[in-house]
Amino acid sequence: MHNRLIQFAGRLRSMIGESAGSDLPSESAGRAGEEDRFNELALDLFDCHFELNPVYRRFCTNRGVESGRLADWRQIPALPSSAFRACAITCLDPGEWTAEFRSSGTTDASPARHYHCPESLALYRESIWPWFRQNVRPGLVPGAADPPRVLSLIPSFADAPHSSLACMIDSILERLGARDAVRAGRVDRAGAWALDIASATAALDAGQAEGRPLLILGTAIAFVQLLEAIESAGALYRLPPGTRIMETGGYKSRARTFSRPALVRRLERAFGVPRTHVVGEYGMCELSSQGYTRPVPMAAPSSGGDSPPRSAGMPVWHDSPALPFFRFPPWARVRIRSPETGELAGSREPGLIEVVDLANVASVLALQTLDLGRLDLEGVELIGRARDAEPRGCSRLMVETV
Amino acid sequence: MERPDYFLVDLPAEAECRPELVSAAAQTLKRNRELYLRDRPTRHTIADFCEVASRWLDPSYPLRQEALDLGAAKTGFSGPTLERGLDSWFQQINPASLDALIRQELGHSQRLDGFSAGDAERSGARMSLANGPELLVHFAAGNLPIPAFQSILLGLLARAAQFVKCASHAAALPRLFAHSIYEVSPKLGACLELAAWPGGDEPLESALFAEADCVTATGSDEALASIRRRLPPQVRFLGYGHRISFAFVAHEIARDPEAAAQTAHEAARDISAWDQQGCLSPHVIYVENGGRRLSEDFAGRLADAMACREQVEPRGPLSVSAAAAIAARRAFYEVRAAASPDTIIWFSPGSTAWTVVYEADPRFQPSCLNRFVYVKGVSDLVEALQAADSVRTCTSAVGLAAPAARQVPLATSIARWGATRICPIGQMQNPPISWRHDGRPALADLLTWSDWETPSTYAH
Repeated sequence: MHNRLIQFAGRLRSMIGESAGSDLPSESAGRAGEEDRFNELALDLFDCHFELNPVYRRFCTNRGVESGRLADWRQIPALPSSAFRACAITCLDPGEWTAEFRSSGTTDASPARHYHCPESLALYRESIWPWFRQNVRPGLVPGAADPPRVLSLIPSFADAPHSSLACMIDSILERLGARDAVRAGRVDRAGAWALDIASATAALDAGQAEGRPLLILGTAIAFVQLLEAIESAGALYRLPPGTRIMETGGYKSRARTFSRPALVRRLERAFGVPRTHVVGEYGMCELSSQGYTRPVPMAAPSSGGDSPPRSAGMPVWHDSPALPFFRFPPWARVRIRSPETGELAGSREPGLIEVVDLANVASVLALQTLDLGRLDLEGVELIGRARDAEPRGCSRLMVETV
Repeated sequence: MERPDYFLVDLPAEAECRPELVSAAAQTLKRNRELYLRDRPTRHTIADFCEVASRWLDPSYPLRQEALDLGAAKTGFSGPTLERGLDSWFQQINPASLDALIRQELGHSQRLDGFSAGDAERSGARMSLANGPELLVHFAAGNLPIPAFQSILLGLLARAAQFVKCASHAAALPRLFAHSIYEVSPKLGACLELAAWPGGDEPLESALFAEADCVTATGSDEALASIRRRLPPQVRFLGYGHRISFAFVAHEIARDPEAAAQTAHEAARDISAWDQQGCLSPHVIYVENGGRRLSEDFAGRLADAMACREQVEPRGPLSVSAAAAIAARRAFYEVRAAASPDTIIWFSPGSTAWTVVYEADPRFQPSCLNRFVYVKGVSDLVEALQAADSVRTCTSAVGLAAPAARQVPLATSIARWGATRICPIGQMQNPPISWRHDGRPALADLLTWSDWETPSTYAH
């Protein structure tokens, strides 16, 4: 990785490290100092990417944007996520690539490819934990004697070496020191993800029996499979207080579509976990940072530990909104672009979600997704997806970087 | 303007359409048909229909004004787009064109009026009479109104009572059209019913199918399959599913600056007509390079022409999702353009009004529509047709711009390849009234023949 990027990664690490110490980063995010700091880092990283990422540089110059001339991170041009399907979007030489994250798609399109070198991958893994901890609140400090029992419905990174999600879950399990974690995700011979229902339900049975909170991590599709198995067996769990569920994606872009509120209701019913403890994650292989739905509530001090408020006063927050709101860590920001005018949309105005992610050190920091959303003080609300947006047969549209 | 409640679609929005209402309406239609339409001479229907068309072409006609006043919010189209689209269709309606349609389809003008014989029948002393279905049901698509108008016209000529199920958001224009028929001839109007509901409403549709003799449907392949599945076996089904179109520009045209500019303007008319929503709208313009980079030049000319067209005939407003499809695709091609000189993109600044993408790669690419078009370079027609092979079975029209000497061989190749319509660029969205939709007979597919073998057939 280029020296400038290594230096930048160091500065970003201190920002991430500071955030790791705070439990309420979202409330500090609005401070003017934070804004200036984000702006400065974003413009610096933009200059690096302009210099080191040839496709991005031409994309910017075609739009009349040059390096060193921007004053605000909002002016940084966003590459479409489909670019990661069309060519190598990277500041790294091919010789440096040691990891390649790919999107999982069901269309005829080739997957998006996001290349990493050891330094950028290390930064990716480090950035995951603080924001996960603050939002999902697995409750116990890393390496503590009695971490939650973990059930992952996602294959291991060793089995799915091109999955950024598998890498993320591995990092989280490492930080939790969850050596007895149950991994019920599999990769079948065709490369498709599958679920080992028996080991998943065994982990749920054990968690319920011993009264130890669980942390369950999975894709929406995997949860639906698990729920179908549990519901058809007529089983209903009452998982111990403190149990958390993190579900990710799957309901937004893949073959089957799910309504998130319906999924959350089913999880609540089947597992006995309050919906406030079901956290949604928004991530994609083209990004390094994750958005989460509103964090699991802090327990009242008197209740001891962080047991969910199961009896009086529950739920702490009103029901999950019909469509999820996601919030990103202090080193990533969302903006919404009006597709009609190409200008940034106003508050609550719908448009394409763009993420400026400082943890995307080795590729490109500003990305336009195919998701439609609205922005307000709560975060970004996911309202749909641009249909018919990607040309057919992207796989055949691969171009060699000039 | 308030209009009388002639049709179910006239009822206030809160009035719920129920299966009993649909059945009763269908039965009334059949009775009215027997009284007013079954034995009505074709020339009377033609005369009435031509009167409807001439009223619509009169700028002061209240129903026309009302249609244009519906505005983009109700129709999705800007006033000028709507005006050009409606006028091009009504201008084709005249006694000669309708008589030609009947002769093309049935060989003889009086085939529907009584027993008659063509040459082949006469030699066998046979005669025949064409009968339309008693109740013809149309499931109209929601994207543009003309196919619904055309269906109603063909149904009237076939002397069928007609029930038109409009898409729930797209009933406004068919409704005004139906009122104009009622105005000219209440008897014809009494054989016509219009209703709107979201497609797939099984109770309503079962009630309708139970009364129908023939059902036509225009829509997505899934919608068609769903209707076909639910039809009683004796009901004839004519489905018009997903179709696409493209165009081909010969190198002789592309290399002559004047002809190329003219063709680009004609192509812009085709792309802009009905905001590219129809199955006859081109997705791709293939340009024969003739050993040069003529396709790239043509793409630039087309971009200029699209910008001009937008001035006189602005595109209608889009939903966020449709605009996002254009924005996201543009961004994708901006990346391609940044990575390779084989892609160039032109688009309307500050809006999604129009987009032209030039690509050296000839493979056919379906557009996301709403005036988003590809220009692709090819060495000849053979390469274009190979590149479009993925859409061969769903190609409707191929627009052609070529010198006179090459027209016949090019058209023959295109027809052999499988396209069902070949027309000049500039006329793609404006098929003649006798156009054989998807290559099938326009009127004859609706009819059933009664053959009469007269005593003299067996006289010898």
